[in-house]
Formats: sequence, C-alpha cells, structure tokens
Amino acid sequence: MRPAKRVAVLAACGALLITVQVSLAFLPNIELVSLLLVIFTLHLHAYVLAPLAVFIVVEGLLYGFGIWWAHYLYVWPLWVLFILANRNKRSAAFWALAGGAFGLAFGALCALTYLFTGGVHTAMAYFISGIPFDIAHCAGNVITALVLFRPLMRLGDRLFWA
Amino acid sequence: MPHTAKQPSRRFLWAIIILVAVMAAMALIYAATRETPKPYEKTLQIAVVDGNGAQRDFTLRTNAGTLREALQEAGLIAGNDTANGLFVTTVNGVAADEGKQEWWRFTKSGEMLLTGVDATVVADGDNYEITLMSGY
Repeated sequence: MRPAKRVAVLAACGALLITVQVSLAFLPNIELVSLLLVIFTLHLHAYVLAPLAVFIVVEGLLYGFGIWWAHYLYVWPLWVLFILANRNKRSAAFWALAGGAFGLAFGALCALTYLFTGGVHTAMAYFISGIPFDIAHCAGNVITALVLFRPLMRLGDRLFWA
Repeated sequence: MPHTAKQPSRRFLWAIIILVAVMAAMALIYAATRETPKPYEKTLQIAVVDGNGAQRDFTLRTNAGTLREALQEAGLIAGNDTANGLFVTTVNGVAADEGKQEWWRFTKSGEMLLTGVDATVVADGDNYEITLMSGY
C-alpha cells in the first residue's frame, strides 16, 4: 500500500471505530469495535495501532478522561496484541470464541485499575457488579463474529488490497 | 487425513465448553453475591452538594429497595432512562449542564458507588452524598 493511501486508510479505520462505538452505545456492551479490530489487524498488522490510538484518544475527548479511560489504555491494546499473535487464523469460529472470551474478561481486565486505586475489595465489587454486562459482551462478540467475520474479511480484502 | 481434520473441531469444542463453564461460574458468583432489595422501612441520609459547595441534607424514611426508588419517591432526582439504567441529570431541581461538563457524583459514606442508582440496594442507616462535579 502506498504511504498516502495508507494514511487515508488508517484515518478512515479510526473514524469507523468511533462511529460504530457511538452508534451502538445505546446497547450495553454490544459492540463492533472488537470485531473491527480483528479485521483491521488481519489486514494492516501493526499499523492497526494508529487507528486504535485515534479511537482511544477520541473516546476520551467524547466521554471525558475518567478512570474508565485508563482501562482503554491497556484493554484494547492487549486485544490487538492477541490478534497480532494469531494473525494467521482466518476462521470465524476461532475469532467468535476469542472475541467471546475477550468480552467475558473485559470487566476483569478493567477491574485491574481498581486493584491499584481502591484495593481488592473495590476491584472485586466492580468486577462482580459488571458480570451481566460481561456475559452480554461475550454473547454479542460471539454472534457478531459468527455473522459478520467472513463478509467483513471479504470487504477488507477488496478495500485494503484494491 | 481424518485424524488431523478432527483435531481442530475437538479443540473448538473444548474451547466452547470452557467458555460456557466460565460464563456459568461468573453467573453463579453474581447470583450468590448479589444484594436483593428488601422492602422494610429504612432511614437514609442524603447530602446534596451543588456547584457552589452548598450542602442540603435530607432524611428519607422509605420502604424502597434501591437508591433510585428512594430518591424518586422523595422527588429528588430526574434523568434519562438508558439501557444501563437511569442516568441522573437533575438532583433537587439542579440540572447538570453538559456544556460545562457537569455531572452528578454518587458516593456512599465518601466511597464512589460502583453501581448505578437502579442497582444500588439501600439499607437502614446508609449515608449517600450526591455532588455536582465539573469536568470529566
């Protein structure tokens, strides 16, 4: 990909991450960001860190740089690192299960921040109170990957390699 | 070869079983530790601190089970219903100005609440502070 096209593509990917997050924000923990990061990473490899950085910074600007934002600083990069480590995988079932596990672990990963700011009790309380949302996140990620992984990969092949 | 062809599906089957088992374990932990609202009479102390630092104290006697029910019963809060529960925008008639990045912070005896007003189960003698904050 030529540098000029790459910059445009990376900017568009960042904008798309924010758009899908904001447009689905009314559904608790049902999101397309996890799946889009899979699609982007499988096509762009480490360049995905650019749209991810755009996404994290703009989310902070939109919703405020609260403690939740500290979660984003490591939770999403961890997910991208996992995808990079498995970038040879092209199975919808694999990414559905991985996305499901990520959704289920999301609250526990976020609770790590509270371990340092409020102690074990606060971290556990945060994790337990968020379990219904983690289960919804898991189910949402599994279903969206099973339904959308293949079509989005085909679309990605056309857009990124055209 | 049939043997190698079956390996991935077996691994996926195990992965599904583990995922479902973890999900079930988390659901059990949630159910076992979840506080359930109890409809007995309780007394709650509510302190509302506005943007100028002025504090107004309210003593609520209520049978409500959750903070939302207790505060709404007393006409103290209003807001927008979202998928995550009530998003409180107005407390004691004072509306948070989104343009000034104002928001209402809920604490219980000084500790930040980790649940929304819908999921916060109240008990007799609880002290809550609701403070108008500025800046995200």
